[in-house]
Amino acid sequence: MLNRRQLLLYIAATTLASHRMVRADEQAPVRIGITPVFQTERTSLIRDWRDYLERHLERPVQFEQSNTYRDIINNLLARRLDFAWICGLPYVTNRSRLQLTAVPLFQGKPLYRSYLIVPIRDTATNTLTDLRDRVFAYADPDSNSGFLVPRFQLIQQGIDPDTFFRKTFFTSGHRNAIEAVSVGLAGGAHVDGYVWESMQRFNPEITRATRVVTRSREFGFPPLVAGPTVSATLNSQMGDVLLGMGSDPTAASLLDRLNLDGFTSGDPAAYEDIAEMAHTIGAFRHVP
Amino acid sequence: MFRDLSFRYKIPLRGTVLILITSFAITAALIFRAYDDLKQDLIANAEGLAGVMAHTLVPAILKDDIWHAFEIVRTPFSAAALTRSSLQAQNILIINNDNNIYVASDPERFQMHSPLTTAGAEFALLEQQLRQNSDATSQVLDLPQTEHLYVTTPIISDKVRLGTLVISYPREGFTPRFVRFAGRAAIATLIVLGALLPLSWYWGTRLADPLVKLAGCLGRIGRESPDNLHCDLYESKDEIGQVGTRFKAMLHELQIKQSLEQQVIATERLAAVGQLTASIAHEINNPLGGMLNTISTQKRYGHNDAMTDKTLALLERGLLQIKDTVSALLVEARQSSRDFGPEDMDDIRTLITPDIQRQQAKLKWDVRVGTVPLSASLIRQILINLLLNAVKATPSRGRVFCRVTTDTRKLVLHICNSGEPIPEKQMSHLFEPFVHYRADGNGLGLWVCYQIVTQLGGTIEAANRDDETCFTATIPIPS
Repeated sequence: MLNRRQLLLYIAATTLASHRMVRADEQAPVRIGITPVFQTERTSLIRDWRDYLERHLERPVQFEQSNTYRDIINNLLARRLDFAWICGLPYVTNRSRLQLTAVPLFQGKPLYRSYLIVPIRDTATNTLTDLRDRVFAYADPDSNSGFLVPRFQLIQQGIDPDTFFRKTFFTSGHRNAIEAVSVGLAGGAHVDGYVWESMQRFNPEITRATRVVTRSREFGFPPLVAGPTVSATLNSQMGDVLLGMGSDPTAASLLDRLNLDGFTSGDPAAYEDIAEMAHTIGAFRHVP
Repeated sequence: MFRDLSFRYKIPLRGTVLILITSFAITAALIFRAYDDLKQDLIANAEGLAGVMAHTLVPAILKDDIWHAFEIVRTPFSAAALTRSSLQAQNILIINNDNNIYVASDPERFQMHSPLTTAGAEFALLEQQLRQNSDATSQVLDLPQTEHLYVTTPIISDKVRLGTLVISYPREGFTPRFVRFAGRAAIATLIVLGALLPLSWYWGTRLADPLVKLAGCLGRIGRESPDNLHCDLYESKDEIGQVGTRFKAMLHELQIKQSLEQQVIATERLAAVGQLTASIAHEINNPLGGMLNTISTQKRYGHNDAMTDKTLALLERGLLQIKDTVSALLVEARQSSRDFGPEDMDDIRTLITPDIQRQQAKLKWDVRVGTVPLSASLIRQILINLLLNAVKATPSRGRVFCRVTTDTRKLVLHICNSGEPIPEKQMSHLFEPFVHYRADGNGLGLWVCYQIVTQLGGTIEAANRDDETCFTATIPIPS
């Protein structure tokens, strides 16, 4: 026969247990937006990452993707998403309403560079200014490496980026920009160095047709951020899971496929450069 | 050259030529049809593709989303689509209303924003066409002296023309399919030819064979005797069969005619010989009688010495021998005699019995005759001559057959003997005088028989049949 205290403990335990189970099943999923800051078409990788996060957060996780950074930012700000992996530029633009969750570590550092690439047969181009009157591909109007960096460079040299090229177009992502250059649709593009290096590893047949002309200085790596409504608890929970991946042997293959070394908590100050550039050229919102 | 060729080759050759012409014509028609189908296929495919693509391109062009437009025009070139069809577009271009390139599946070659005319001579030609026909419909441009077919489709959004979609197909793109088809058609033709040509040769040869035989047989007429012409001719009621039948009939008539001619010639010759012999005999008989009379008178009244008597006797014997011979030649059928009757037959049998016994031959006697109003001595002479000949001709222990029959109009004497047949060469001179076939004959027996029978208005003939030789004399009985 159970005494009262034992009974209470039992009830508490079962209630807690069932409550946990109910919460795991019925809780609204964590919605994470992903942008073409990495190779978004790698569906199996995203599934595996989702499953990993579900296991460690003990609640459902949903990844949502879009071809443009703008959609993801808007959804994040409109609270249709909880987290998003976005570029440094939209982060600094909207940082008053966003919380930094984690920053990926690429080649050991939370930093990356922007690469100027041209088709492999173009052996004459040495700088961006050699591409005058050519067709130039931008990854996304909200991309740091794929839009802000080349425009900033031109403006610094007193060149109007809107008339410098014969024609510019957006490719909805770095991968497409690299492909546009590799097939010769564009004469050049500025792309995320992390994406180019990842493709060099996983799709060398595309990068082989391109040549990296210059590499920019280092910028803060595109961060994972939490939207305005995400509780500090969930944010730190998510941050812990992501940061734990680096030391978790079960996450090793996932990180390898992401071509990352892990995640770090990140420092908002690392994106100051981008903010300054954006401020300098006053190009927060520019669509040609 | 061909005209002189035998039908044996001419008919099969003509058949072969016909078969070849027919098979090549059918194959050519099929191949032409396949080419046309292929082209229609291509056009239908291309128009379908162009229609879908033009529709899909509208939002991308409206938003000036070059990357999206590029992805759309590049879709048909994905690896999966490439392996599926040999009718593969070579280039897909979007050109704007100023005929500048908006985007192309091969951006290296077709630089964005450059005029279409810079893409090569063919595209300059194409641009000219596009300027001329700016209809808002899809069309297939099959321009002469170009290596491609072009399908152009306007890209239209709410009645506003945004540009034109151009899809080019290399003409050689359907060559492999066409070659494959032509190869299959050629193999089928060869198989058909392989079956038909031997058949045609067989039928042709069968058709020509009777003609060739007929021609060969006709060719032998004149060179060979009709009796020896044994032609194995084709028998049917078709034209060649009819010709063959007529030919056989003609050959038969020719044989009859020739044997008739031979008979006539032999008869005429015998008649001439008979006439000549008779007149010579008469001419000899008259002086002969005088000479014999003179010798007789001299012997009887001339008081001759021994030497003269001996000489006269020698002369007389010689002259008598001449007289005998001449008498034998001079067959006189006008001898008056009693009528021939059964008792004559008995006499004849008695007369030849010693000869039959000497030869140990077997005599078969079949005589059914009464008294007939014919000279007994003449009929006896004929019968004895023929029977003695028969006995001499039959080998030891042979057979001799004698049949004499009569009716109201004729007397038939039929004498046969077993033994070697009379050679063909002797047959035609059988009844001529002084024709010796045996060492002991004077060569006049059959001559005499022939003369008597002929003078009595009858016929006599000899025939070899099986292993016996028969003589048949048919003598009309005067009424």
